[in-house]
Amino acid sequence: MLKRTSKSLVLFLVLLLGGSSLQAKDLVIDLSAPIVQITTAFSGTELLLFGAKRGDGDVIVVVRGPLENQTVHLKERKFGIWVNTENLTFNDLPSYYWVASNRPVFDILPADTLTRLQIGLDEITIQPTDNNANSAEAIAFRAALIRDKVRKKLYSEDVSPLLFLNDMLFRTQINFPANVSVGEFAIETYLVRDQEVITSETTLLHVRKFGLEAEIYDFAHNQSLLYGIFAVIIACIAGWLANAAFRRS
Amino acid sequence: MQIYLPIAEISVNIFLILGMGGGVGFLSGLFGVGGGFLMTPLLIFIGIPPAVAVATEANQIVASSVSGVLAHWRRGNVDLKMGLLLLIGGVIGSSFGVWLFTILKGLGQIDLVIKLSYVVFLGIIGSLMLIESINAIRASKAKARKRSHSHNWMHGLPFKMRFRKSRLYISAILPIIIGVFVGILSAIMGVGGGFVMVPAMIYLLGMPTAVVVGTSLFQIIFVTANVTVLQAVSNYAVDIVLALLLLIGGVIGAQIGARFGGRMQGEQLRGMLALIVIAVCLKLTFDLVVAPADPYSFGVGGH
Repeated sequence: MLKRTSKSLVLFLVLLLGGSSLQAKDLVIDLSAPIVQITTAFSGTELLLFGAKRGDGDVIVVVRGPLENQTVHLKERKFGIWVNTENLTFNDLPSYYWVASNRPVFDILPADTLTRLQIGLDEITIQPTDNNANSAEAIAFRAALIRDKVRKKLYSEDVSPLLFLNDMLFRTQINFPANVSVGEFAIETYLVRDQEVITSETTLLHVRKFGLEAEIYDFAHNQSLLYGIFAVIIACIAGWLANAAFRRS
Repeated sequence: MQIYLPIAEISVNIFLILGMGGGVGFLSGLFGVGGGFLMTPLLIFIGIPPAVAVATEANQIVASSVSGVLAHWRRGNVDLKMGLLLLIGGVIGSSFGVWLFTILKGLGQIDLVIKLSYVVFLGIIGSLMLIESINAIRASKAKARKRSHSHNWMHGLPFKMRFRKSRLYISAILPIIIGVFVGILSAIMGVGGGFVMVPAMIYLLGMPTAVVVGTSLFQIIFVTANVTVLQAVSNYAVDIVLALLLLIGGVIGAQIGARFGGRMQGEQLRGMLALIVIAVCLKLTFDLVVAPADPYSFGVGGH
């Protein structure tokens, strides 16, 4: 990973010195890898995001995972045991959410802009299927959902540090836990000057299962009957082998 | 060393899974039980989604039952006719069970039903076994009283059949009903159901103990195979990688366990097994009764 990172960083700097990209844009960013591959050995990963800006200004980076629906169940004590009673489904929330900036976002942008751009855990649009999104109940369910996401390291509670290497270059590190969703991740980078977004850049990152993992997953989902029969056959062979080995010893 | 499970979609320590397979395999070799009733709760404790735990454990039981039944088959301890009737019931019961499982999963109540089923059945079986083994230890070296089964209402049922190997002449309806019941348990609890079926075959049907284990294993192969295929189709919950890891650990553990088991007395073994069953039951009860750390739980909803 590090080798690849430094190689592309060099390439990036060459491009930068040539001046070809910055002439057109005030902001350029790149990732240490455009694709995250979930293989058998996958236990989470980190990516390096680096970029260059022209002129003064602060930088905010927001990463959002593919949208998903989540059902939240509430347990209550009934007849002495804890039972799921109520539930609420939230639609189209980002499966992953992460923010980085060079200094606190509240100092960089006014509150209404943060709301509009959905920067910060409180600002993410998480809408329940029911209409009464502002009821005390729905707010409690939403808070529980965010708490769970933070616990699973899928949402970052704090804004991560973004480092300026000089007036122009910056970098930051994005962490992905092992339970990260697959799909397309949108990475938005904002260049802010005087409480206003000067320009923004969007990069896509693909997270996908790779190799045997992907093949097993696809097999199980696309040809589930065949997969089930295959699982049984493997088990029968394994059982027979175990018996044969046992008899010999 | 971590390994990412493709269906459970979590990363687990490979040695933890092998160790769990080995540990439960050891106990199953020692006590001559399938071990599904221990493995499924353990998988849930380490964070495998309950649906995946139940479905994958069914897949593993196919393997351990095949390996077990071959040994019994060679000794002629499988009553094929009885096994087939149990199997008819088992296929009906397990198909119904998987259907019920899918509905309960949709309602968000599957975790509760799985845990409650465990508490009820482990509680009953554990207590009965404990009482029986205490009595047996007390009465050991007194006379071995073998009560031949008495005639009762069951012998009035129609469709009587002769089971030569079991030396029985009983209604075909009885094994089918037992099969249905065990099939439902198998689908919902991720167990083979031997711990229910074996006592039922001995005490309800009056089968000779020698053919009971082989015949129940024969039935369990097909019922858990049915559960595996149905769970794969309706819940995409069978994790082949997890099943294989459990299997490798289980095979090794069972061999060691079987060797240890030969050196111990039957009553003491049953007493120890009863204590383990009751311990698992108490742990599950405790989790249901004590206030959870977070009253909210989460699931990916609405496909």
